[in-house]
Amino acid sequence: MSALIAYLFAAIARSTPLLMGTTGEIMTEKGGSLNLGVEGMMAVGAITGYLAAVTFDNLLLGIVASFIGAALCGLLYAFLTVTLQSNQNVTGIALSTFGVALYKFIGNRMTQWDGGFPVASKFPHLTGVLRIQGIPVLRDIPYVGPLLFSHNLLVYFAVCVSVLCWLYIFKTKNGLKLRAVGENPSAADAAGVNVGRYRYIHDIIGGGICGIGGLYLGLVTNGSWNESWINGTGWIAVALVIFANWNPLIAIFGSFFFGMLQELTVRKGNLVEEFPGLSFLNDIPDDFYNLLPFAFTALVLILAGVLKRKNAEPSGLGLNYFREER
Amino acid sequence: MLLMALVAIVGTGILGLIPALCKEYFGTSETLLTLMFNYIAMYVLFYLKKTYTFGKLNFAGVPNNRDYETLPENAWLGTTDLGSVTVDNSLFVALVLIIIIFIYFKFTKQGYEITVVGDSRNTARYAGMNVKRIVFRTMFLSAAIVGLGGMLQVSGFAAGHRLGGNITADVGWTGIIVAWLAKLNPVAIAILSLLIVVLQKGATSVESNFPTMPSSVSNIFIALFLFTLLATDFFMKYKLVVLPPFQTKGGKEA
Repeated sequence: MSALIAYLFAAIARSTPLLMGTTGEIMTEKGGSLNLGVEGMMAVGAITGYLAAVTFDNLLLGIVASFIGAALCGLLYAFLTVTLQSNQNVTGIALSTFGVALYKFIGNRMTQWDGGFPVASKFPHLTGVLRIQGIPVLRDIPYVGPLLFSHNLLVYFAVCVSVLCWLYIFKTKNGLKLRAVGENPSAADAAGVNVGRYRYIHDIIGGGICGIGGLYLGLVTNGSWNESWINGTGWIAVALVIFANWNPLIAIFGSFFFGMLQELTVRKGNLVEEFPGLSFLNDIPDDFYNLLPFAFTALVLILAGVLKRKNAEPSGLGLNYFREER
Repeated sequence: MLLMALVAIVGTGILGLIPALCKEYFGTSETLLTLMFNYIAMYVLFYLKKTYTFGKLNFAGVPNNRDYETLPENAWLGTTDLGSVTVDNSLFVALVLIIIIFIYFKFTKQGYEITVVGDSRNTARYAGMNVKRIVFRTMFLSAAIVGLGGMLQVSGFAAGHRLGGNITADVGWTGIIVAWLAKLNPVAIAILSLLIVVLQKGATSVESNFPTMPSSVSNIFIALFLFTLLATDFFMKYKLVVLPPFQTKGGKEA
């Protein structure tokens, strides 16, 4: 049983940055902006947040800095696509290239400094906060406690943000307006919603949330410098948005599922040791587990069309709103 | 060699056809679906190189170190000596392709059809064009060209005549950026690819001489170029005018 719990525990930890990236991208896409720059925004958020966290030895400032860093990228995206009407896909890809390059530039530059790149575990206050494990009483419940209630604080933070985003998008007036902007910007504009302002605000907030996911990858998953903190997480998040049907609540479970698949590459050996019946897991190559999230997403995309089911993809997704073209 | 090229063209062409089919018949977003295909194809490639039949182990031991074997010599792409430098023959293939594509767009009916469909599907339909067929044909051709590029890279000298782990090296993403920087003009694409490569390789060699200047600076520049270009596009269509105060109420800038 312990191997199973260790596996699921690790899967939850692994899914946290994915969840942040996905939630941020849902916020962006619900307003009709298909921002493919998640990878870049996560990278920028990771490096700014990490540096702030170690400079001030404070996790909260790290979160704020990663939010601001990535939100600035979101602002750049919004400025280019909303104000200057540039192509959303191309802007997003350029943003990805830009963000990842900037992150590598800053990181590699800092390794040249005296003392090298700061290692997170050397900062007492920061690691103290990160080491707080879960919720006091609940974590002592057998099985459920070690699995659900003994994670670091950022994991719960991510789940809270997702739930809040869900409440905001589906249960508030502003969320309704946001969805209207994503579905049919002309109608929203006619109804008196400021389309440009809504897209700006949600591109910025969504970008910032993605950035916190990047901070998790830098600070918790890695903790010291290497060039592959993000390593495609942003692109998986883009896939997960589709898999989760543009719903932050489903994204919580979707990211857990994707995390489970990815974590299998590391822990399938331990699992098979404890449950010999699962020995087929060892016969499946690692690449297959990495492939599955994308394959499932492609399947969801195609099936939604084949079954003519109405999925939640905003109909205005990827299209700029241009008043003169109405 | 020719067989290799043929398989590459047909294989990637069909791979490119799938998103087109899905888009036309089921309304699937081609941006998202091709993005997924990127990674599916990549992991299939990673997997195949670890299997015995395709991989033919070069290294004993850690599976991740296995790589594809060097291709047999009759599948190598030749090189040409240009005085002081030696270049892969893929350069000439690319140049010829650019000329062909330029002619295709400028002087053939099919190329004209692509332009019309791209501008307005309805116009194309009213003019009696079979929009679906044009989309399928174009997607097949464009994917085939991309596949040919990958095949040339594999059989070329620069990659050591074998399929390495990072054979694509983000060329695909840079390709999208170059195409937009060039405003989708084949001739400009040739010039810009040269510029971009000079920038990237230059940054790499700068890094080897001055370790304080990481080579990722080239990608920052490339992205900044593109941001600037995307921004200036707007100003080529519009002029900023400061309105006198009494007009600002009604006149809203676009």
